[in-house]
Amino acid sequence: MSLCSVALQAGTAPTLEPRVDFNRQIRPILSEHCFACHGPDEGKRKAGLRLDRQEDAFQTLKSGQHALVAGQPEKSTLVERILTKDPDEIMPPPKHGKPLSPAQIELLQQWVRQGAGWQQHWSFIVPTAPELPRVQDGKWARNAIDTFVMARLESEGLRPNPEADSVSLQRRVTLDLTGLPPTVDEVDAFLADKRSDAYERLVDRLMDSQHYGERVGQNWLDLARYADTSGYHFDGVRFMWLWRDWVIDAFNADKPFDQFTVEQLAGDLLPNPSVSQRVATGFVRNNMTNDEGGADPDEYLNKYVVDRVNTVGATFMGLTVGCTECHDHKYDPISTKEFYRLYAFFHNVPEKGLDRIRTDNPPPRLPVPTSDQAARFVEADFALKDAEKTLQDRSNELGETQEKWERELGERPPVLASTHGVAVRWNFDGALDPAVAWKGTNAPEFADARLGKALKLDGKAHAEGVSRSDLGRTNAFAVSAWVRIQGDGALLSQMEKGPGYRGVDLLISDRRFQTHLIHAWPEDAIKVRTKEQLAQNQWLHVAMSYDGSAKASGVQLFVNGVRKDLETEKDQLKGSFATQEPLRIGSRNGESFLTGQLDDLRIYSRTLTATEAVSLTFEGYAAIVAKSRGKRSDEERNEVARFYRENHAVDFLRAEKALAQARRNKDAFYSKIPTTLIMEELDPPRETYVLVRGDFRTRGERVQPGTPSFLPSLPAGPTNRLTLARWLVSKEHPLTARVTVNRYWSMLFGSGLVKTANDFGSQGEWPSHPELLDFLAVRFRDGGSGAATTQRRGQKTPHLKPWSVKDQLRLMVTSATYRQAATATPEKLTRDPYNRLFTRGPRLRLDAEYIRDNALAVSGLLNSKIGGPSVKPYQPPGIWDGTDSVFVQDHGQDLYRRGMYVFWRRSAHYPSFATFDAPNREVCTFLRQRTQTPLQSLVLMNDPAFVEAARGLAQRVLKEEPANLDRRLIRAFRHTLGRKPQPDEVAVLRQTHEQQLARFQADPAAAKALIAVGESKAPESADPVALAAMTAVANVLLNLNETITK
Amino acid sequence: MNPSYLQGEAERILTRRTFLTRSSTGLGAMALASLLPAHLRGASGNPTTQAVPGALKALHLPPKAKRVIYLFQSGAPSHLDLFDPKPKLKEMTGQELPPSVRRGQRITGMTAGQSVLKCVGSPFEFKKYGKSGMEITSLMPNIGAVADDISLIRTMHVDAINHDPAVTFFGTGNQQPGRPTMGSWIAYGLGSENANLPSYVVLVSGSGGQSLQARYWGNGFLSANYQGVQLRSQGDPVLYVSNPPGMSGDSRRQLLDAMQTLNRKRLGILGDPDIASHIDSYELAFRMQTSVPELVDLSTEPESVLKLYGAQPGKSSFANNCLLARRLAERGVRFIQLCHRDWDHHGGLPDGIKAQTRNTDQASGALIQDLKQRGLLDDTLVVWGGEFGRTAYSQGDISANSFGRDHHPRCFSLWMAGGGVKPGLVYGRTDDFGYNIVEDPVNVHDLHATMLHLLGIEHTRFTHRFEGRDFRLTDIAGEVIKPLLA
Repeated sequence: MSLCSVALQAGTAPTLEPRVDFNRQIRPILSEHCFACHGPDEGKRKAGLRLDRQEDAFQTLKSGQHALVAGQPEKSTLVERILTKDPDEIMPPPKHGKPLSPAQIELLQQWVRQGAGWQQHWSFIVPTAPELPRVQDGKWARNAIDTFVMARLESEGLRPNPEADSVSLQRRVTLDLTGLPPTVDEVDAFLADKRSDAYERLVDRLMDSQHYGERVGQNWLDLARYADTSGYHFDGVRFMWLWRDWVIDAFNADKPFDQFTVEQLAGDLLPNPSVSQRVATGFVRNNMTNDEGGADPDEYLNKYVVDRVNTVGATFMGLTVGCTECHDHKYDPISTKEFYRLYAFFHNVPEKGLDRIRTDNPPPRLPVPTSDQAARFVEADFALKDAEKTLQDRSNELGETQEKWERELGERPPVLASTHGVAVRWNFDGALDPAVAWKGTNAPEFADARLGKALKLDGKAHAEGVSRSDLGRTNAFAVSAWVRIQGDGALLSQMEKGPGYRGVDLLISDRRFQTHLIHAWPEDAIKVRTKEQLAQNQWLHVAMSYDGSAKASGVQLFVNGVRKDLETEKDQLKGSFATQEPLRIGSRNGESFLTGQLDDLRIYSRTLTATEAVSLTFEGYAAIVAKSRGKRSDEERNEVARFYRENHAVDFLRAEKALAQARRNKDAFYSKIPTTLIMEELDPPRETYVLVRGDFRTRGERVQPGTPSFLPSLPAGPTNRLTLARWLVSKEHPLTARVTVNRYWSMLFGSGLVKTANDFGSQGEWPSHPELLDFLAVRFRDGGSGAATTQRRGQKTPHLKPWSVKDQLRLMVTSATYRQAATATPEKLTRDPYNRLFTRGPRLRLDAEYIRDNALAVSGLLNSKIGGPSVKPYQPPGIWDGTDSVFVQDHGQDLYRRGMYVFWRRSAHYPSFATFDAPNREVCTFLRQRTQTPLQSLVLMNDPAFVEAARGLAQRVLKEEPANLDRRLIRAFRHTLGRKPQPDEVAVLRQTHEQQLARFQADPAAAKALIAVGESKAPESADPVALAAMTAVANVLLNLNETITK
Repeated sequence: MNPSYLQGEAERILTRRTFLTRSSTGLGAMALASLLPAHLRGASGNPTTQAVPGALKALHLPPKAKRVIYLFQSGAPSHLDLFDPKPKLKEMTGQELPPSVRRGQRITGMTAGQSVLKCVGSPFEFKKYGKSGMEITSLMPNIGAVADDISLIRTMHVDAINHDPAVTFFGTGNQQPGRPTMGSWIAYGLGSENANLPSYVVLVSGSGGQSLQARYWGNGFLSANYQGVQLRSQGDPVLYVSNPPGMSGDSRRQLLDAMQTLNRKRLGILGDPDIASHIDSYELAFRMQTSVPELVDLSTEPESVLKLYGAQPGKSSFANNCLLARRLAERGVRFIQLCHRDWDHHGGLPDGIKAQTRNTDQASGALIQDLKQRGLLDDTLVVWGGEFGRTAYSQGDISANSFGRDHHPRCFSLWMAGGGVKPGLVYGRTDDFGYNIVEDPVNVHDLHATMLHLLGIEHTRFTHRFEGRDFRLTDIAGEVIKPLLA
């Protein structure tokens, strides 16, 4: 509960009736107790009475009475109804469960008596720069912030703390602005800097550090729901790190917040948008997406758009617009229709509600090559074009070169394939060989073929020969035949029936030529098949050669003399495939009957070479080639040309190969180029309708894009996202600047000036320092001086540039308010328990990422690289088990990247971050919780990342201070906390060191085990016992409350 | 330090942490309690409202159940093959589902393209069990054996037709992610009865099928203290509960002592109550280092109990998790959530159902029996069910021994036992196809309202303010289903 509201009420119990402040005192009562039935929600409004708008509240009611009559409580039915004892009459009705307190009833009466003054809700009024208040203690202030803070402290009779000591202050501001601790050298340098503006110089140096962008960016990632996975269902990977790096760069460059806003919401709609401006629009696309089979795409498309409206509403305006998806807002003047008008701005992305993509970015996406990639990509593209040209040239020459080849053939006829090792040759020239029996109802038929006649197979019949023992696992053999296929089926087989299928076959399946060598299917077998499909109704020469190696690599398949690229499906042959089954021609043991023609079937008891396969093929063409060109039929002409091209057109084949390689090169580059999700606009846009009660299936009225009526109207321009973005950062917008400065305030002080930083509506909390908030908002929006009334001697006048986040943060961290010591006295804890009045400096536990970053930095292990793809450091087994993705850990330097680069899996968060309250980023998160749990203690004590960091710190100080134990302990303490330890603190560490040293001396194996945690290696030269003892001490240091607190 | 400072401190501790009731720093909650204002101390003097150590401070109603064991069956088990016998459907196997039954209702993209939706009855026999004669599948004899202890609801229904939104709805009362799960609500409202364990514990078993997301036991906008803590079957049972290799428990204690000395010194200088909380958290963590391994060590269970559940120490299984659930219940953990995967039988349902019942029936029955024997069933509410049911029509072809069923949210079965639930009751009636509800529908909000009622909570009065609105587990709906109450 708000302490300040208690204080305010305490201050309103005087003898002289003070002026009641409508916004501060009355609106919250009406909002909490009355608006549910007498507020903006038309569907729920009772008695026609509306109390959230002045023009409605004073109207004549249906009964003829008036709820409110200014200055006349006795005529105001509102007063009558809150005072009555009649349970049927009293307001709010008892069943509403929110009765008014006597103090609230009194306040309402006072207000009516005083004239029932009205103001618009404070945050909906455009802020103007307030006068700096007058204070008694004018010396304390360093800038304007302090003047406002002091005014409030003085009114409460409180005093601020003195300034924090240098080391504490340096550590606080360094962690706040970079998320990393100061090094010992930096601490010493700052201590030695006696210039009056040493602190301001420190702040400037920190803001110039590239780690500034990481720190301020991390805060933005929560709002923008940045993650490395899609969120719903399978939660597949996505790539958004380019956008994340854009955010870091933008903060480092101090991109003005108005521009920062416009580029993220509508960079794609700017004139000639740059790659960077298009990348920026990923902000809008960070919503979760779904891949679940059977899900309704319309349902999810709707969810995506709703999420975008909610995110933009909360991030820029601090409004809970999500309520209005289903009904008019209960408390704020936003109607459902207005929600869908905002929705219409974000409804035009050329995306699907269900992308079914689990391993890559769904469109629209933008490839963003690095400059090196871009150069090499262009090079690859040129190479491809050149290769295409070369192939075209060689292709054009084919006629010529074929003629030359034929001429040479005539002069020097080719050598026919050797008949050596032919075990079987059946030529089917009009009759079957006596060794072969026909198995069919009708007599076998023969057709004209390339070489005499061929056997016709009708898909029902086949022929059988005796089983051949030479088709064995350790024997080399080969099969050659001519085929003309009309459908799938077996050319040849010698195989048992399923389920084992022991044996061998040559098969056409899915029009691919393939072979099985099976001991027991599927676990003990070889299966290979051609990648390409065979032509049907065309004479083809096919051959298979096996070298007896029992490996898939020992099998070759040839088509028309060309050795084909193969896919290996099984390569696990351990047993024999010998069988007693007969050799079958045209089928496979009662199945896979071939349809087509078969000719010149040969079985070799040896392997066939590629040259022989060409020769065997040529035999089929020899007769055609012998004919003069004019006498060849069209088919013959084509086939000879093909045979020549595939087997003898050397230059052409080389060019063809080069082209394939050039294509592969380009594809390989293409898949390496990172992409990122972006916004694009559909033209024409999708139609948008009010969805009744938020149900995507129930369309209501059609709406056009637009903004809520209680806010200023859109600036000139087309009604699109770009204009919406410009509207958000226009001078007339009352919320954006306030919400943003409040958020930066809460980043530093733990709580905003408006504590409900994501609700600036009427249910939000009244600001603790309304004038300060408006002052900061106006300076943020317009720029200007941040000076206090009287400047301290020698201090520069702070000047703020418009929309500069750096200037805003600089004003905050250089204020006396921020620079106070954090010491909390019992009095301050009682009067200001949550430090909302700033009676002391902020002292807060670090965010999850910084707890780890800090430990890595202290240990010397930190890899401070900025940006790039996300990394997967150690995590315990089984974290991803609930999902179907497999966690593959990274190694080496990737283990020690900063926390903001850790792979953010929405359904299974990096465990130590989840434990320390980092959100899973399914939706926009405005404020992180800051809890304390024993699970966090377990992380810091035992997570290998932290144990390894302790060992890193131990190694570091053993090296830095090898000789003296106390100096070593002091050094470790200073690495961790910056400050020098006090003697009793050193004593505690010394005693711990002694205890642990004794333990490890007694158990050196334990010492070795402890220092082996983590993938970084302890130096060979290290004494394991000494290192382990120091590691244990470092573990104490990394677990201190002070270590994880700024 | 003056009393008002301590009082502030006490409020902070009680409102910021759940499973702390003792601490070693002298600022124990027992001592603090006497300093608390009455509204924080609970006990309002009204004898019918019982004080609880959670945010509710006092219960609204006399409670029947003190804790919940939720046996969530992820993927959606088929009500038609397990709990809701449909002889007519069986007769009509192979025939088209009459349009008068389907009434043009929404079906998923997986079967929307099928030219015909063919009825398919269950290939399994149903049997009447117990004195109540409750009719359920013969594949679940052990659940059958405790039929007289359970209340079977045949008329559950949800709006969502896909897994993720339906599971999210069951967990949080809303299809959209972001709200706290039931376990978080209950841990938040009722607080803990065990100083050494979290009050909301999650156990996962099975593989394949639908993914389980950490947010199915998430705390939403409630404090992370009320997040479900997963007890793991591999590695550390609670993440990082084991000391690193080479560090003994004694060593850890020495290191903790050093740490606490240094922390206390800072507390003395800065007076920041967060340092006191930090000190307490570490002491509790240290105690968990003993209590958790003891909890998960099933080898101390007698052979007869292991056999009853079909549990095997050291193995990851639903059976082990059921036994662990009983041990957690004994130790006063408020909400114990089991998630068992792989009920999503779009195809190959008969084999799939057989395998899944084999994996779950024995331990489910054993849990009820065991809780009963120990007198724990009276105040432990056990719930068994998935996120929706399955269709009366087949997804894909029906062959001799295989077919599939698609998602069906319009009616399905779920059972409850113990904790004030009426035993031996079958509630609600569906049509001859198990497609539509004929009487007594129960939606998810009703189920939640009823569960909260059994725990002594009026669901309409149990709220949490977030973003200016008072949220409830039951959103803006929910009726207690009175006939289910004993």
